Amino acid sequence: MNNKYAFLLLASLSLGSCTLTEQDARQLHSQAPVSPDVDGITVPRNLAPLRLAMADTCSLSSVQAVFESSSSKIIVGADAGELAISIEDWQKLVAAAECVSVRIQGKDKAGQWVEYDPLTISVSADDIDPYLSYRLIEPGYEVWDSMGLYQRELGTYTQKAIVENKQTEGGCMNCHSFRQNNADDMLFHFRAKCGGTYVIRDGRIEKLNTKTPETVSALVYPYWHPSGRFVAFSTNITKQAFHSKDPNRIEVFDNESDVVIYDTEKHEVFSCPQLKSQAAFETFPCFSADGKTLYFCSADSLNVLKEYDKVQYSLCSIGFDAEAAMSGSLASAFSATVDTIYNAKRQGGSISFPRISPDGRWLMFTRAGYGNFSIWHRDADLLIADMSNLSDASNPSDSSRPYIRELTELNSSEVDSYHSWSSNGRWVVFSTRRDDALYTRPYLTHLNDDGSFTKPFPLPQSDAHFYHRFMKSFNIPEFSVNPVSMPSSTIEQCAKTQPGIDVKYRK
Amino acid sequence: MKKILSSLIVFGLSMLVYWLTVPLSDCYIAQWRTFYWDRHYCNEILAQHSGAWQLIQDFYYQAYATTTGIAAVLAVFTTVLVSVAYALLGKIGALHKVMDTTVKQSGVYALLFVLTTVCTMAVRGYFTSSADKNVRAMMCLAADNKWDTIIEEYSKVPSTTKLENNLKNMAYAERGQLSRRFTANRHPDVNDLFVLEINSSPYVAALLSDIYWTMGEITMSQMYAFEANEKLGNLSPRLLKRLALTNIVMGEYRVAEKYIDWLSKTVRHHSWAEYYRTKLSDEAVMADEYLSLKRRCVPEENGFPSSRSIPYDLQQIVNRNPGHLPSSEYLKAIGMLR
Repeated sequence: MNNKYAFLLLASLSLGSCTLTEQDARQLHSQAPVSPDVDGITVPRNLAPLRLAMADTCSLSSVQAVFESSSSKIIVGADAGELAISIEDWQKLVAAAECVSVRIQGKDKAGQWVEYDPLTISVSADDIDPYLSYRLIEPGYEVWDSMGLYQRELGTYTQKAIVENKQTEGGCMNCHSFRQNNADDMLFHFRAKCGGTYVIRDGRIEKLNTKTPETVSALVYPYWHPSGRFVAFSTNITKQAFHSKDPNRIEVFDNESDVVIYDTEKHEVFSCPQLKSQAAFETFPCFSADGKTLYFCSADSLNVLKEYDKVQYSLCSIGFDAEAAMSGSLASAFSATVDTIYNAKRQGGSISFPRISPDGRWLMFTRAGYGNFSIWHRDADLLIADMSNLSDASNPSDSSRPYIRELTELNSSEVDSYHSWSSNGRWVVFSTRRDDALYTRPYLTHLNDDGSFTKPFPLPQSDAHFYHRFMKSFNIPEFSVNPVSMPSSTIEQCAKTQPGIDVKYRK
Repeated sequence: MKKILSSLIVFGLSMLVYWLTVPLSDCYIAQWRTFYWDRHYCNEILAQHSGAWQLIQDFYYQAYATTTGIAAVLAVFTTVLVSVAYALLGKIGALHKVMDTTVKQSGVYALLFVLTTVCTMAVRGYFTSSADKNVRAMMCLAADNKWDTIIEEYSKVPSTTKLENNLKNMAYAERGQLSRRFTANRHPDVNDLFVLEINSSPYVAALLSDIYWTMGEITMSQMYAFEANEKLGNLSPRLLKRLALTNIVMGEYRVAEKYIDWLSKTVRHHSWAEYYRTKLSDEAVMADEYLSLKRRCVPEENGFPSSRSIPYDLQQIVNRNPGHLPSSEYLKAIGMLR
């Protein structure tokens, strides 16, 4: 009997000690030492909550966070320096709220309760696409071990493998791409083992052998035409070298490159002289939202190994007529002239990854000092062009109407590079190395009505120290409105058993 | 009391036996794997296929950092086995008559001890590769910068592989003896200094990372360390140390801190990590004799080391940093090959 009472007493004591109450604390008038920096960010309602880590320098004990919105108040105690609100509690907080405040309280050395300045998180009514896909790979050099394409459910912390290279004899995989955020239409490449381009459409998967005698390489950087009939690709002869001192560590460059269009029904690629010039490197194609314009990057062809830091890619566009391309009339499939949206020689830098918003208004791209592999260029930053106002293309110095703008609210002193838009055009995910200058992390931001972006924040993870511990980079983050439904076992079977369809070059 | 005393004697004796017989090369595994005292790490490993087994292995490998550690683990194992076996025998009634005196009991206990120890050594020997024993042992010594021990114990042992020569020559270079000793080899070639073909082996890449570090080729050292670490699942303590050091030398303190934070979660490397945590600034690096010497090896002008020759790079380092003796030693040795 005595034991029973003792057990009940202990149980009630431990329950009592777990009950957190908001404290009447003395204000410290200083910012809470937490990471990531969430003060002033805007989050969508359907995103899993960010977990916060108290800095090691924080000397408070019994730390707790008071999360408060107009609809709810939840107190979370720190566990090993982490403040982790549950998904369920977070959903209650943001359900009908426009703002959440986070007040962090703790006991100082004298045992008195103190409180930091509140952190404010705005809640947007714009939902984010529920899935984000990326490749996880070490930011390595020439070898790799394990890698894979993964898909993250953004409302939770669940990550599933689309396909991993342990299923494909350890080969490399890259360049996954969805048609307009629809994961039912997807493609990606395997290199080395089980090499080929894999296209998923209408619930079927096909393997393509895409090197043709007329193209410099197999197909590389993809972008789907909105119709789904075509995919623009670059073909690249890519090399890399190691800097002995440069902070960029590695230089990746193209010795040759062109842009071609792949016809998904005829298994043919085609191009035009403007996209396949000997005098220029053309790469990073991107169709406009209506599919009538093809954006791409172009640089004068140089001896790259000797003049790697003099290669400057301009942002160009060419008209594309899908109807003409479908009918086989290549002469009228492309416009005769190429427009230059950003002239790198005149305006400076070198452009990569043009990506147009779904409404066609905003064209976001990356600019680095030179070259095209911006993920290894620490000066790489994001810029945006307002495509509804092209009048100042010839006069970028006119600051009164800056039709191309540096996204200073997003950029950091480290790499800010690959980016993609959500299907509603209100959220952008971009790759950045701001955390430690080496490992690429996905950051999210919201587009305001005036064309500015909110303060970026990292993709939430189930523990606050995740990014500091994690030894892989997040490559090519791409939103999708639906999950990739093709089982990885089907992809594996296709890779291992299918010889692949030989793609032809249409002349 | 008698049982405790018996166990202590068994533990002490087996510890002595194992300590005398376990070769240094057995510590090789601890270069690549260890246990990290981090709950997220444990959770992630447990979530993997056969994760529990890997976690047990990693925990066990903590002891493999030294031969004393290995001997202690084996001694605990032996003590437990002997005690359990003795208890079982004692419960078998038929044997009661056999073990009716203290002398007989001691005899059975001693017999069990001998049997268990011999079996443990046999099983350990069976599962421990004897291939590249010298390379493994020298790699362990190189990890702790025990260059004099390598020279003392292995300079007179004939090399059977280029990797052994690589390690010996690295030790000679560290001690300024390479140019003097290199010609002693019969028909030396560049592969005696650094193997040119790594065959995707992370262990050879790790060795090359050490050699380039010794040469003062910090970028190449980092490249090989990164690739080797990647191949070994990203948490090799030896390679994390090299990555931390190369990044500190290159002034990349934030990423160096990432590796240091991992190492600080180990038993074996915690103090190393905390020491180098104090070096995460230019001032601290320049005030540190070893790190500042390495930093002066970083070229003033940028270039692509892989597109040039090693002698060219070494000549640049020697010109810039004549105090870095291993660079000039390697340069002279390469010169002898011409």
